[in-house]
Amino acid sequence: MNEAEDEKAQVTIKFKKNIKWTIHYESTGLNFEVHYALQEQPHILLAQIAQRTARSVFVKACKNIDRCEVNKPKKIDNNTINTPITLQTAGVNFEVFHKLVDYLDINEVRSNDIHAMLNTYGVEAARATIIGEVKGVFGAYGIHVDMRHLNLIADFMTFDGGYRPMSRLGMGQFSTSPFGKMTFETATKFIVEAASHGESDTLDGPSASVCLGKPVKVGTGSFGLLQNFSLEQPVAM
Amino acid sequence: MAAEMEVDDVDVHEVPECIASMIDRGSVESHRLFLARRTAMEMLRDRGYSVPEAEIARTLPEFRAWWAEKPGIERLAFTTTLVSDPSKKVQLVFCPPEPVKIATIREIYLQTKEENLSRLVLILQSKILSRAREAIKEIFKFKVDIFQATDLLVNITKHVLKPKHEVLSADQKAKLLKEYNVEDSQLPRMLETDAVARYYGFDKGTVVKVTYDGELTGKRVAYRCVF
Repeated sequence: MNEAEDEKAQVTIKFKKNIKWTIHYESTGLNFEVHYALQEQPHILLAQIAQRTARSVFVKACKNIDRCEVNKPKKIDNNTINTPITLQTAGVNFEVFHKLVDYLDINEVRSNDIHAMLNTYGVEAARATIIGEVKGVFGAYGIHVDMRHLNLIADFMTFDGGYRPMSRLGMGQFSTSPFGKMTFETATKFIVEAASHGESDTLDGPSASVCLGKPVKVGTGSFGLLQNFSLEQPVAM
Repeated sequence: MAAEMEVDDVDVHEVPECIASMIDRGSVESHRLFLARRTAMEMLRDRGYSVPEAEIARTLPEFRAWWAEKPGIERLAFTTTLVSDPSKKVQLVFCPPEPVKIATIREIYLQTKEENLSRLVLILQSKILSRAREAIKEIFKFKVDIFQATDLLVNITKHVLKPKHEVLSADQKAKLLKEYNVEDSQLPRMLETDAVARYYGFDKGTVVKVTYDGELTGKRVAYRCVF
C-alpha cells in the first residue's frame, strides 16, 4: 500500500466520521412530513429512502384479510371494457366491508367462501355462490353446463338450510338407502354401519335395485301387469 | 397579464381530492348507530309495519344533528304497528354499549310492559350473557328478535345474490303441499337462524316462495320451509 492510497483511505474514514444528520417527522391526521437535516453530506436520493420506508411502514390491517388488490377495467385495443373498479382480497371479513358502506358497493360483494356467504347473506346467497363457483370452474375451460345441472347440485347442497358437501360424507348423513350408499363409495364402511344400526332398505332407488338384480322402478319398471286367468267358456255350436 | 392568467388556468389540472377529505370526521359510534337504526327501520317496513319514509330517508348529518341535541340510547327506540293489523305493535329497542345482563332485560321489560306489544326487536352493541338470553324467553310472552348492531350496518336483502322471498298464507301452504303430495318436512329447508329468516322474522313452519331471476340461477320458483 503506497503513501497516496493510505492518505486517501484516511480522508474517506475522516469524512464518514464527520457526517451529521438528524431525522424527525411531524404528523397531523393522515398527513405526515419527514424532515432530514443534513450537514456536510454528499447528494443522496431521498426517493429511494422514501420508497424503502413506505414498504416497511405498517399503516392498517384487518383481521382475516392478508392482501388487497385493486382490479381496474381492462383495455382491449384501446377500448376500455365497461366494468367497475373492484377490490380483490385474500381472506374474507364481511364486517370490515360493511363498515366501509359509504365507500364500497356492498350489495355487489361476492366471495368464494360459501360458508361466509351462508352466515352473512343466508342460504339463497350461498346457493347462488355454489352455482357461480361451479360455473367458473367449467367456464375457465370453455365448457358450457346446462343451468339445470348446476341448480340440482346447488339445491342438493343447500337442501337442509345449511351447506353440505356433495360427496360420500354429505350422502352418508342424509341418504336413507344403505345399498345406495354402498354402491357409491366405501362399501365396507356403509355395510358395517347399516348392519350395526339395523337399517333397512326399501329398494326404491335405482342403485339399490340394480345391486340386488331387481328391475329399477322407473320407466317400464314403474308399474306391474295383472293378467285375468279366468278362461272364457267355449261357445256352444 | 390577463391572457397569461387564462393560459395558466387552462394548463393547471384539477387536483384530485386528498383521501383525508373522504374520511368521516364525526364519531364512529354515531355512524354505527345511524346505519343500524336505518337498516332496522327498513327491516320493520319489509316485515309489513308502518314506518315513516322520513325515518329511512334521514341522512347521516341530519341524524348527527338530532343525536347531538340529547345523546341518549333510549331516544333511538321506535314503536309502530302492523299495516294489516294495527292491534299488533312492535318496538325497536337499542341496548346500552355495556354487556347485556338480566338487570338490563328486566329494565326493558318494565319499560315495554305498558305498551301491549306483540313483538320486540333488541339491538345490542356488545355481547349478551347466556343467562340474560334465557331470561328473555322466560320474561317476555311474545317473540323477541335479537340483533347485533354490527349485523345491521348493511341491509343484506339488497344484495344481488338474494332472490325474492314471499311468505305463503296458510291456505296457499295447504294448497302447495296437496298439489305436490308432500309434507312440509319434505320441502327444502331454511333455518330459523338463517340471516334472511331473521331479517324477515320468519317463524318455524312458515313456507317461503323463492323466485329466482338472475344471471347465475336462471328464472325459476322454489319453496323453502323454515325449520
